[in-house]
Amino acid sequence: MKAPLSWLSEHVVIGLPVDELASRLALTGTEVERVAAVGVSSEGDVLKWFVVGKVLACEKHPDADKLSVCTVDVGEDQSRTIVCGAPNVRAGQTVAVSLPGAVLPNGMTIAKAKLRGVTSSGMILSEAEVGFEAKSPGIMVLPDEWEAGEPLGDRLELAESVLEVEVTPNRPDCLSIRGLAREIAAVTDETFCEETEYLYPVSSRQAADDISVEVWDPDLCPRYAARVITGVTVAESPPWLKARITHAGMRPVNNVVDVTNYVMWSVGQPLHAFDLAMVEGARVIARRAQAGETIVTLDDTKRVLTEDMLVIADAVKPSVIAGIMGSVDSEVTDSTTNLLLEAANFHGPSIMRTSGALGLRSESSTRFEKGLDRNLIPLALDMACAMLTEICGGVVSEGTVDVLAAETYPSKLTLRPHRVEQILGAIVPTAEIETILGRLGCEVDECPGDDACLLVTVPTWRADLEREIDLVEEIARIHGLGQLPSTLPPRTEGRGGLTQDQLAVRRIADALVGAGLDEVVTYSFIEPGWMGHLRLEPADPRSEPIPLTNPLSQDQSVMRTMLLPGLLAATRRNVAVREERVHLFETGNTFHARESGLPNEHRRLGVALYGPWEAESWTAKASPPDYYLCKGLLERVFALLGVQVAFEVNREGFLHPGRSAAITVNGVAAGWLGEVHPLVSRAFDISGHVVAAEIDLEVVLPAARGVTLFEDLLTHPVLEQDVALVVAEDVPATAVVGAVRAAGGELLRDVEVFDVYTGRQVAEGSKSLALRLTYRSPDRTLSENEVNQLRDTMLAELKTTIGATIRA
Amino acid sequence: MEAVADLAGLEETRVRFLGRKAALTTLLRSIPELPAADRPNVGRFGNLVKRELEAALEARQAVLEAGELVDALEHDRLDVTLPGRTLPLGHLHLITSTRREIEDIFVSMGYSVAEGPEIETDYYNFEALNHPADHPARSLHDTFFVSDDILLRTHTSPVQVRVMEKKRPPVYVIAPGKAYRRDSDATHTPMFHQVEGLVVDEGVTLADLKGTLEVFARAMFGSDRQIRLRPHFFPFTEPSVEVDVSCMICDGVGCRLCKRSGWLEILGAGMVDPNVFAFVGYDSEKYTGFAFGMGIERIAMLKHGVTDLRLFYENDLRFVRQF
Repeated sequence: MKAPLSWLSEHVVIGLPVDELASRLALTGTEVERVAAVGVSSEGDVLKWFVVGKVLACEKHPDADKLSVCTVDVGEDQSRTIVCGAPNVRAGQTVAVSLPGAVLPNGMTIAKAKLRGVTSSGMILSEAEVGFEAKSPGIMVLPDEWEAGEPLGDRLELAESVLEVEVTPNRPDCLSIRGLAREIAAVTDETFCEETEYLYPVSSRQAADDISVEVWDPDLCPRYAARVITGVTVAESPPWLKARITHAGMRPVNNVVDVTNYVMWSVGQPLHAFDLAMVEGARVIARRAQAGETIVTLDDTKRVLTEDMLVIADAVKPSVIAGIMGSVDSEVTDSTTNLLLEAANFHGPSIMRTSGALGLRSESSTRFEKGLDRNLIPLALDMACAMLTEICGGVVSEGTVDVLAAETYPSKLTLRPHRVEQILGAIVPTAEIETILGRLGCEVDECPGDDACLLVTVPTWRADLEREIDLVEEIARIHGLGQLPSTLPPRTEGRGGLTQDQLAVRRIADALVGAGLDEVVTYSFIEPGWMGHLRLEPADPRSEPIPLTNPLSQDQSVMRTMLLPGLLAATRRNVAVREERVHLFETGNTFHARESGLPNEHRRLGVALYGPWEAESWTAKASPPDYYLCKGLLERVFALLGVQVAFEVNREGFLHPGRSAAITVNGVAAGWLGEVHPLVSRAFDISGHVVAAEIDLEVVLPAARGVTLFEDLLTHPVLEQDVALVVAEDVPATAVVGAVRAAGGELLRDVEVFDVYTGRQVAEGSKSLALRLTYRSPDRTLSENEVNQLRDTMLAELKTTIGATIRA
Repeated sequence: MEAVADLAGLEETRVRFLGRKAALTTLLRSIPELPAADRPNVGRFGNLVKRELEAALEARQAVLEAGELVDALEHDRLDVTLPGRTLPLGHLHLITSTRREIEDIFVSMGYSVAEGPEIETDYYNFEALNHPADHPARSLHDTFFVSDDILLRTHTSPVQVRVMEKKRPPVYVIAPGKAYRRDSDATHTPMFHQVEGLVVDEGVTLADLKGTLEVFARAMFGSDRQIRLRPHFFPFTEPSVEVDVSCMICDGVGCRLCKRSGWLEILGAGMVDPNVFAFVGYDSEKYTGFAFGMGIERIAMLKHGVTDLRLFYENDLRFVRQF
């Protein structure tokens, strides 16, 4: 909301410098985004070069078709010669003149200058040249009563300060000059003054003779009031009005539209002026639209309406989407002479819904959607009638056609002063509470029969004050939040802290960072095409991510079901900027559709490794990351969590078929790891190997150990034996280790593969696995003999279970 | 002995005086052949000489060995200024490290950390937070929808409601996590991170909110920081405030970072609206509470001087590795 300071000053004395006013407003809840100086600079006395002039004579320039040579009286002893290029300059006009020395808003300095041989000592101004409108067809013509030589700044707001205020949605009253002025008065303890009586010529015609108003849907239109004005002349607005409209951030259109906008800005009540001649059947009907009914709005867009939208129609067609925007058909034009002036009240949520559905917002809809005070209507109509008749001519027909569902009366609330203290934690004396509420326009009495309670009558323009707590807030903000003490809650019980799972997630990240990985945070919504790159089976649910109904763009339009695509995209980005070592991890949610209700969200850990693990240096050769490096990282994570996992052969389409594994925890799928399939890397524009993994933390974290119990590993030492087993080449190491554990007896505590051999020393199609067996008894020191026996029994069993022989 | 220069020379000396063919060895070996009366003296004297020679050799050997170790170490010099062996060090993303810092401050004040779903129902994201349907406050949120009443949460505040549904007061909790709004420009990313805070207990006041946030601001931005509360509007708190911290660059005097105001906005907060308590069945006459919400990226930018929000989501390692 842009509020020119001069306009506010018509309603309240602004006693503070403007920056102090802005700060006072900010500290009482009205944020001032900026204070803009618009128009001519007000620095020093430069305004004195702008004066009122009278064109005494106006002749064609001898050497230029489009220029006129004017003799202008600017109140000095001698008149000045001023060359003017405007087509509308005429002798006898009262005009705005800038004398040499003046600086225009665009930075141009006026100087005495020769124009095609004629010396011009000044410039006759247009509205645009002083920032009253964007573009002017000719010079600005002023009222003849203004005298030559009068300082122009005394008559027009050449140098304006505009407060740009952010109004919160609960304060539609502040979307008006009067509302803001009332707020300024309250927070600076000044008096608010408002003109409430307007005089205008009234004809003997009755408005009700010319029009009828029918409200078919009073739920959406609680009040509709109309007045009729006949005999107006539609023209350009006078300069002062254009200035106000422009400074407020709107665009001057014509005198009728500008007046309705001016009144909206001034009192906060949107108005609509119809060309009465275009109202078919002289009927105004506020009704729900018929499904499929269309209207071409003022922005030249055809709108298709639905049955929950309110329109203002005549006997034949809808002419306005109520409270939002009018149609081109009912617009006031230059030939309009009779006006129907509407001031109505519409149901806020309905306006909000309609404006949202049509994607159409206007100054009018932003006010109506927040809910307006029905009692603004008579004031707005009176003010508009007075301005229209003065500026556009014409007379007002007697009476207002006013269809009102129900009167709105000020509401009464009770307020317990001790509740104020209870909420704020500071005592505000009752007398101060009464003063503050009084400054806000409330009336304060004692509750009948209860002197510990106040009865507060709230003005109708503050519909946001509905409950005691709302009054507490008003008291807090005017009393001043800076006055509050700083205390801490009087905590009665309980403790805080991170949960085991939250700690585990931190430890995982710390372990990976300690191992050299960098964390990334990628968007939860991804490009749907990325899922297509992953070679997933059509039936794979991961290939059907949840789409957003209103994405910002195609590349952020579906919710990820895996972290891998985001990690590959982040890898690509870094490879593209010539980063050689890209070792990334991310923890984040993936999203999985369900039949009904909210989707499942799984917190997952993802890893992607690209480029040499160790950078090439004088101590080391660069070595590419491989499957076993990634597996080692995961084993480290599982070890620190104390989770037992199994790695099994796996076939994911996006991984190398021979270099990938599925991970399970207690038989439940918990993720995968492997080399990314070369076709997938290529689809993500990555040349070279990527090794990646994803772990479902929803499965892994619950399996993480709780409290570790002590085990005596010190009293009785372990006994280690190494054996080399020859098995068929396609027997996986986990199968061998599993069989060894199963056959080893309970004293076999650990089995570790420390070498793998294929070659001449073993038969073709076989491999040798070197295992370190660790035996330990909790209650005695084992002898070599005892262990040898255990081992021999085991080897005999392995021969039958996995066909293993001991290597010669 | 002093003239023996190295261990090889020392061995030569040993062989010469104590070797099998040395005069002393020969003498000692010949004792049985000497007259009986001479044997004790020769034996005693000969062995004394032998022991003294041995001791002298040993002493000299110790000196020579020490000297050779010094020489050998002297010889094994490294260029100690060459870089060490590379042990890769990774980095947490700045969002994570900042989130942890915020969590740790509140955990140290006795708060728990709660989490909730990122895809939410309209009820938790809006309705139970006192944003009725078609309420203008909803237009402050540009919402991504999954269906009519399922959406990407626009703030982490729905976790407030989920926590209160499960637990009776006292509640001291923060809820960090991702949030989404349909907005993308220099100062908005469509996904961002927030930390929500909620305290409900008997006798909790706005002054307690102020004190709590003062503790937070000083822990986060330095012990000299001041905070100030400005009234604001949020549908789920009443009174509502925005909180500024005194600028850490200019200390409140006014500079470019704080746009000459001396203050930097860090979060929104307020006293929990009685309507929200009604949704979760808390008695608003008995309990009062405050809530606050801050953007993690905003806090990180202020603390670390990051000037472009979008850097957080580009995942360029030249950014990630700085922190």
